Amino acid sequence: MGAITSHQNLVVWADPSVLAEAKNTFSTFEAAVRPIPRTCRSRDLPKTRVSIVYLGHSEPQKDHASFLECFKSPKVGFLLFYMPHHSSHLAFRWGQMVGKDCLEKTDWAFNWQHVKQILRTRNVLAHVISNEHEDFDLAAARKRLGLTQEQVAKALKVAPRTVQNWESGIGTSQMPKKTQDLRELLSLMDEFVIAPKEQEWLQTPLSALHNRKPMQALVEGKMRDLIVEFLRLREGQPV
Amino acid sequence: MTFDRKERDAIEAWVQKARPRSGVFFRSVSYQYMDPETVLSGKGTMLYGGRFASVGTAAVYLAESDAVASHEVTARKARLGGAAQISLDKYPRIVFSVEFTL
Repeated sequence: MGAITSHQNLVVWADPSVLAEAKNTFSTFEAAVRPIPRTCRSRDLPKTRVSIVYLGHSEPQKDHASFLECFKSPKVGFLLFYMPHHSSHLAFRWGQMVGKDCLEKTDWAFNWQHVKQILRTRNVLAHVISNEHEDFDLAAARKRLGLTQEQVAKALKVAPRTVQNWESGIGTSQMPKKTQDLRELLSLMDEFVIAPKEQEWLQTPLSALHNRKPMQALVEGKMRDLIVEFLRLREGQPV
Repeated sequence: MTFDRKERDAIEAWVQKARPRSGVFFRSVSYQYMDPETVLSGKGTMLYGGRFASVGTAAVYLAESDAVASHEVTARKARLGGAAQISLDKYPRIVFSVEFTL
């Protein structure tokens, strides 16, 4: 990934127990990754525009209080809490420790995409050459949805031969564009569909799809209908 | 469409009753749309359309109470498989209250 950052711009803090994990996660950024100190004074903090606290699975400890207190210093421009595993309970407990005073210059991210989005709006990420599509495994996505190559071809409106080729890594230049909706749908499914119920859900007739099953809708090339329904759910739009 | 006299009178009376709307209204959104500066942008509806607005029209849907705002979310969730299959717990949601006077 072509993430360009500079040391002055970004410091990542992590509990010593998840330090290695944090270093790994932010290895593509030129960020200084530091352990959260047990005691902290605001003069020890480096002057940065953005600090990220990588939470991993770590519960807030009493030790963290002085550390969080330091971030109230005007030296710190912006503080982002990154919690990669979607635990709203844990976020709530950390949030309680952060308190209202820091509210204006803090934010939360629950997935990597959101971290990048926030860093981009804060001008920390100069530019990012997205390689998400290169990591996209079409065969795995197809198996997850329980579809055959022919069905995926219909869903993506391409020839079955093209799907075969893409799955073997041949001629994939058009794949990112053609699979954009599919990737969006999978991430929306991650967000909303209860994981163990996913297979059942794919086979359940939904009133949002005029009583068709999600799988049917996919094969009929109606993927957007499902995506839009999820997006309206996010937005709280009336039915 | 044409109306007879009786219908025209009824419409006339109905129009006379119209008053500028004001008050506090509510909107429930997921964390992606939590920014208070953009919560009234209407961009979502512009991109995806809505119940009373076609794609390309910026619109914001507000509910008369926070309960109604949450109820709309539950109704949409039900359309997508209901509580047994769909969960909104992964990300926080927030209910905005919007006060306006027209």
